[in-house]
Amino acid sequence: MTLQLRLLLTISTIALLYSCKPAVQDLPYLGRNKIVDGQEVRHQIRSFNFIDQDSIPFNAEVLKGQVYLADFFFTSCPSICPRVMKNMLRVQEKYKGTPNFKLVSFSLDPKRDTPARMKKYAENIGADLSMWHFVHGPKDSIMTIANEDYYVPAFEDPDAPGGFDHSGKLLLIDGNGHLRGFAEGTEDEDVIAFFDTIDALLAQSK
Amino acid sequence: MIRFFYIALAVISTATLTQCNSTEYPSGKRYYDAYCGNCHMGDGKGLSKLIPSLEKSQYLIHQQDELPCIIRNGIKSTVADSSAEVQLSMPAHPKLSEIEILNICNYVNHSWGNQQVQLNLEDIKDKLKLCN
Ligand code: HEC
Repeated sequence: MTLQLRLLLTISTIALLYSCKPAVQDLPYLGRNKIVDGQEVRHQIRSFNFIDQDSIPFNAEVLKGQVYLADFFFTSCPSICPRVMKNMLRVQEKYKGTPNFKLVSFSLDPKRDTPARMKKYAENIGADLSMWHFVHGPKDSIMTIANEDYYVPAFEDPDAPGGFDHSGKLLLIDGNGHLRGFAEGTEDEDVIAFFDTIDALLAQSK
Repeated sequence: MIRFFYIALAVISTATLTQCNSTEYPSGKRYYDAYCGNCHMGDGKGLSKLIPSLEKSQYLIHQQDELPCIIRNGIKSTVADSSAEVQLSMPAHPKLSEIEILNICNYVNHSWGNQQVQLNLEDIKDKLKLCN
């Protein structure tokens, strides 16, 4: 056997074995920083004023000091949403009862997704509404924060399944509104590996 | 001894690579993952009350003849979009060929505790004629 082949085999085996276990990182701050008055400031989710599935105001105040995992969906979404929701449920099961931790699902389709309809949807999928908010707001504002603040590409597209094109990313936000991590909500393994990142942020936030 | 070590490495690599794709119907699984898995999920369990589970499915026992038709034409939700009720429709897959439908049927019929007879292309053609 040639040296190259041996090396290749050794490296690929190690790589394969390790590919299942990403190391826990020192969590970075994600997003583009802004320059305000000559000072560089960290990217932060802007404050917003929406309502939740019970028509109760849902705004920056509610999220202050909370670590939360956000996603964008709509109830009639025929493509990736069910899989993403299944993974949100996985997170719900894992972090049930964890203080200061929330799940937040923003609807991209406020016209159809009234609070009442989202509540029904939440019940249908088995969401625990004591930790999970389903958020309703003006379409333009939701699209803007999706694209600009959470870095989730989302837009209306009559040709897309269900009328909206969006990514199934899960975004992890710290208690000060900074974006600290993300996972592909459509990839079960990615979400399970993401538990380490969530744990790390929760540990740092104590 | 050294040679043995590298052979063992090769075996471990191959095993790691292959353990993920073990099914009798690999091409059916591929199509299922692409067209059905986002809703019914890789483990067939669906999503709570929103999307039915295909595990040990009564549907596959009692409505087996309709399976190719619902794969091709979907299932329309009986509830209006505007109502507070939420029922998802199953989308149509008009571009799937008969062979692709066959592969999906055989995969679904032999996964997650389902044990239906193996179908062939003629069966699929016959059942598709009965779609309404
Ligand atoms: C957008 C999500 C979605 C996709 C994609 C999807 N389904 Fe479905 N499926 C549903 C929903 C929702 C129902 C229940 C519809 C109803 O009864 O009104 C359903 C019902 C079924 C049923 C009947 C189950 C029962 O117990 O009634 C079978 C079988 C099935 N789907 C198989 C498939 C297969 C095979 C594919 C891939 C070709 C697929 N589905 C793709 C959402 C989906």
